[in-house]
Amino acid sequence: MLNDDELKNAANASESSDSENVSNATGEALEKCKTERAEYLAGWQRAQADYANLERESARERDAEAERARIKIFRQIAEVLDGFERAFSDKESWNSAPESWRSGMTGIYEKTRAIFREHGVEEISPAKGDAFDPTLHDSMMIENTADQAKDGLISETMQKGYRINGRVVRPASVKIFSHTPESPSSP
Amino acid sequence: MKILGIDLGTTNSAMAIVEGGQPKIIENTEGNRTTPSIAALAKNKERLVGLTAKRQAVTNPENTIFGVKRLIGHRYDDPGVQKDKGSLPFKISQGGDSGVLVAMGGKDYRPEEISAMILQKLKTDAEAKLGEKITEAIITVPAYFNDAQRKATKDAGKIAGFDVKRIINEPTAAALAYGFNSKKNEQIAVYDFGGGTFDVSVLEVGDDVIEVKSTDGDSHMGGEDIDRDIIKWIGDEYKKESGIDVTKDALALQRLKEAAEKAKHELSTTSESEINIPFITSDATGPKHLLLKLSRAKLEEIARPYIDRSIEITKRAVKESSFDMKDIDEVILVGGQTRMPAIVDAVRALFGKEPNKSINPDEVVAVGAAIQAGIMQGDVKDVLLLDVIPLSFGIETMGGVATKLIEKNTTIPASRSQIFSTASDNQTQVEIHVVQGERPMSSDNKSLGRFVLDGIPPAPRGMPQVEVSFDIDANGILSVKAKDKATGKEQSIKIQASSGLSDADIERMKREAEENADADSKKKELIEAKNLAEQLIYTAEKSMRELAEKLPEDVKKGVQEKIDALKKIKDAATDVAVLKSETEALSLEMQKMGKAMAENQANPPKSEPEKAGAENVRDAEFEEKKEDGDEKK
Repeated sequence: MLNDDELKNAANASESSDSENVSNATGEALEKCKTERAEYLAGWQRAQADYANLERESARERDAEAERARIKIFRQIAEVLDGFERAFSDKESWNSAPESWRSGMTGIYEKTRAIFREHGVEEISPAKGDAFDPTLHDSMMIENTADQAKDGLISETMQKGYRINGRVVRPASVKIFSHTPESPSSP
Repeated sequence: MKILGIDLGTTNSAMAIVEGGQPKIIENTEGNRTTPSIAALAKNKERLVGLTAKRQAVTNPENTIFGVKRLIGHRYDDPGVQKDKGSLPFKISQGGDSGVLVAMGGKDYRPEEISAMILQKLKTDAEAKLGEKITEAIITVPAYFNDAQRKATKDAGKIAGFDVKRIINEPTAAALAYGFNSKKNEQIAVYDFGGGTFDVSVLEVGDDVIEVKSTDGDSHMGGEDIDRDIIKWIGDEYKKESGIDVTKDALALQRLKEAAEKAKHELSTTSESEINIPFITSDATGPKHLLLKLSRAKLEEIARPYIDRSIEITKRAVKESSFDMKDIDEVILVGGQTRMPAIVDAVRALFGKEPNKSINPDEVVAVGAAIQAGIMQGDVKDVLLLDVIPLSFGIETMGGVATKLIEKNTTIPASRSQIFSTASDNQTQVEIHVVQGERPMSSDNKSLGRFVLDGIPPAPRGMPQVEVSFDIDANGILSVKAKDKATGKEQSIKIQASSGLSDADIERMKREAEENADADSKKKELIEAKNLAEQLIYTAEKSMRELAEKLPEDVKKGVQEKIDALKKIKDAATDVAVLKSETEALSLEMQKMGKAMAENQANPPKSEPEKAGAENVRDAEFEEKKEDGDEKK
């Protein structure tokens, strides 16, 4: 904004007979006004843009927060599924349980898995010989092999992983083949 | 152009920027707020950094490099390097300039090149997240880093493609995050218990400079040690119980690790955590389950040696700084481990003051680096200073309740509007009483002004829609407007909001609101119960009138009795419970009306909703301005 002195100068100049002075002073005042106007307009536009950006950003943040919360819950449910799978994997103990108990337990397990399917949660369960991908798999241990071709490939999925919309809820825990030449003298 | 603030940690790294004057942590592409400081060359020759590098570590230990911060800028023959050498799964050797070389994938790298890989990932991820090129950074280092270590860190930044604007101390960044740089002549202690390291520094804030007076620590003590001891405790307890050592099984060990971490987190807020891993293993006798309880006391016992050691080191650092414990004005907690209540207690007891811990301790250093960046960019300087209103603005509604339209701490200029309605049938005017303050009852707040909006066409209560708009301009001048939506008629008032209230008044009003919070909420609850009772009486009487012909006498009598009973106690009621139960009794009795109608008629007439066509009408209603009668303006 113009201060009082500047206004006075402009006014004084207009009273003087020198028309050049008048136009100089008013011209300067006008220039200053223009600069200020541009500055304020830019500031106002920036504020508008900041607000629009903030709104978009907070909408994104909200979605991301909701997704994080869902993933957290899915991770916890996955632990329940792990418990079932560990129970099933001990074949001898599992088969010695009464048939009606087994079918009931399987029912509860399937029902829990159905929740995952309903929400678009997919299993990550690589097969033996699949390539190891650290974006989906977490290596737990190695299994020695004499077959060099198998080196670095997955030998076993020890615990399933899960993903939703391409985002990993939890990586699959896997065992990896590692080539160890049988004879220490081999090249 | 944004400058990225980077906390390049031993175990994890984090990054932040300043946006709109506010620091903000940037997530990496995996969606995490911190990135493991690990780089690897995978078996397929792919370079991995962060979480993916960590996940393949087991299968590829000799090519997975972690903790390189302990090597950067060191000479190979430094005692610390020689001591670490034996325990590292990857190979290190001496370089031509007697520095350290790290072997990865059959090639030797300088530690700064490994750090550069981590920085490069942060850079790429930040660019992807922010959608713009990032070329400038501020990187933090421990206060004890010497010139060689600082230079090497700066070089790492250069290799990663950054123009490193500055290398700043981690404790200084923490102090900046809390805004302590502006407090002159203060002594600040920064206690940083991270995943793998412990550092403590004493800072002095002078004229625009934060000086490190002393620093101490243990580069091999951190939260991971506590985790390892918890896992050991779980394993030992389970072995005692079952005779089985589950820690030998890699997958079971992984489960114990997760369980230990989870228990540790839970015990920051609860006093006991259950570790429950069914079917953890099996033997000849069948499946085995792990079910243990870890108490906070036990956890603290496990962590005690580490906490005690950190406190000893802290005492040493303060002594070294030549200050007394009592000279320390502020204490800042940094590092995830400081979430443990026992650590907070120990630090509080040592300094005799509450430590600062409101900023996420995993992120506070990166936030501080971003703030330093903001200061350099002048981001903060050019921001227009916006005011906030210290007290809420609202209007008085039915029963003398103050209904807030603009909440305190709202940034101005601001405007809000809300639709209200009438409290009685055929009410033709409403009085807008503008109040300021936090108390629920308008009489306890400051009255700013009142005006009347008349000429509302007669209608049943709750039907007219009066829109009340508040607008506060940048100078704090409040304009209040009331508009009848049906006729378009409006009235307004302009109030110099700031006039009459001094800072002391504002403080007093805030204090009073806090002091009276309990009593006020009870009072408000009673008013609301009264309003509800009144509304129900109104609805009941209306239905009785409309359905007079169709209702059986006994039902009518029952409802009338309940109406009378409620009316009798309503105005003088002081007990919310009694009022609520009488209201509930009337409501139950009214259900009989509906039931009777359903029984009597094949097609029961639809009872008219009380607020038909007024979905947006708020429950709070205006009190009729009786004293003004029918006077028109």
